[in-house]
Amino acid sequence: MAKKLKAIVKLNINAGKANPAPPIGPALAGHGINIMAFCKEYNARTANRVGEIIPAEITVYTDGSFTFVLKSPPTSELLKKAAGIEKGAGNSSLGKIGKISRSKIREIAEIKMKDLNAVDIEGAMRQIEGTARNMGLQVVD
Amino acid sequence: MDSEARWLEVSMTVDGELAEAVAEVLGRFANNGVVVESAVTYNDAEDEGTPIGPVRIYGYLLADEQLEETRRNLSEALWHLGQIQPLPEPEYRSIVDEDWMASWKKHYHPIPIGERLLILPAWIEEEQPGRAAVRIDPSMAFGTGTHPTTQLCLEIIEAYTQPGETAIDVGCGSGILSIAALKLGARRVLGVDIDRAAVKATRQNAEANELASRIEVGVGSVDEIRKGMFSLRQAPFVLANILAPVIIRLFDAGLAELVERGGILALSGILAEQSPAVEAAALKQGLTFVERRQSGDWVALVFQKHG
Repeated sequence: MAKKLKAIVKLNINAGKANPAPPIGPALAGHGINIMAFCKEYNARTANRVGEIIPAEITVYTDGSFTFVLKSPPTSELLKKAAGIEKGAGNSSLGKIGKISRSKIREIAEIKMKDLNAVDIEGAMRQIEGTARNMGLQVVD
Repeated sequence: MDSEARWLEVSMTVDGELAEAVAEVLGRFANNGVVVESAVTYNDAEDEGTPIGPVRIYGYLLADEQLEETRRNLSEALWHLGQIQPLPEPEYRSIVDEDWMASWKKHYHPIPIGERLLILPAWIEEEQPGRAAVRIDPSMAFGTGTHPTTQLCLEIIEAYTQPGETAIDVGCGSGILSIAALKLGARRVLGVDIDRAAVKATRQNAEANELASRIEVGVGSVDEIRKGMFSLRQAPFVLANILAPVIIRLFDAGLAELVERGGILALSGILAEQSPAVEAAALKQGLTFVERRQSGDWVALVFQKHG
């Protein structure tokens, strides 16, 4: 059918635990998206990965119908795993809470490349480095 | 902040490159995650839409006794991020708790089509004398009844469905067209779609309309029908509500072969400027032009195959 996009809505949410409370409810209700249908499908597709944040990218069509795909976890989650830390620093001025090598940054950039708004791998690496520094991670060679 | 508000919505519009970093900061404070929304542009006639430009990031803070502290911490974290790259000020908006499970439904109302059809969202019970109800649950397949291309096609179905005959719906989406044809007397309909979600949606909607026994649904397109993978290879009424470039390709795959001699082919999903190309492709197949209907920028075309 004549599908035309209205918007792309990405939700960074907890695997297996989608429910109509914010942020999902207000984000989707405004577009006329069937919230129950989305939550059921998302939870079914992510049930075996509870504990992770798995973004869903929802394509909203002009008639309120939609589709969605699952995306790679947010950069901060991948950085925390790579650096072996539980949680980012509240803010980057509180000093460094860990280190991460540039080669790890490149690995993460490669995982995330298809999901980032980056032109090339260097651009993707700059975004990952920015996130790392902001979390209090020191980037080392 | 008013007493009813249970949530504080925080939103910021930033460049794509900053989206991840801002989403990460907001995600530390927001309830159950964040939302990143992109606007869309169309590169060409076939482009379903491509994200473009700045994105808007939303998070929701629970309005409890810690709200002021959370808000302060969030501002501080954003200020630090702003030291690396300049950021716009976040916007705050109080929102009251709603029944989100119900509020999305406000977008849908019964839609009367032509003289004999009524498109009903699944949760609305309504009867209108003389109109057959087509129940559609808006979900993961195109065709909720609100789009002009669907409406044009429904009008054509009303005008051309022959009671007791069969029909083929290529690109069935939600199944709305197949169901409408059955409600108007078609004996049996074959609906195909290349998208599995659409096939599933058509089955569900067919059941909701108590028509499951008269509709055959499967994954496929013109090729699969011509190869005999379904019980029908031809019908006196064939529908294709897709997009102009796809319709033109389907002609090459043998779309016109699905129409019985003397039968009708209805095409929709065509932008007005694309109409001449589709008409030319149809005439090349030996089809005769019957009529053209327009709603806004969208056009639907009807052709006949002579015996």
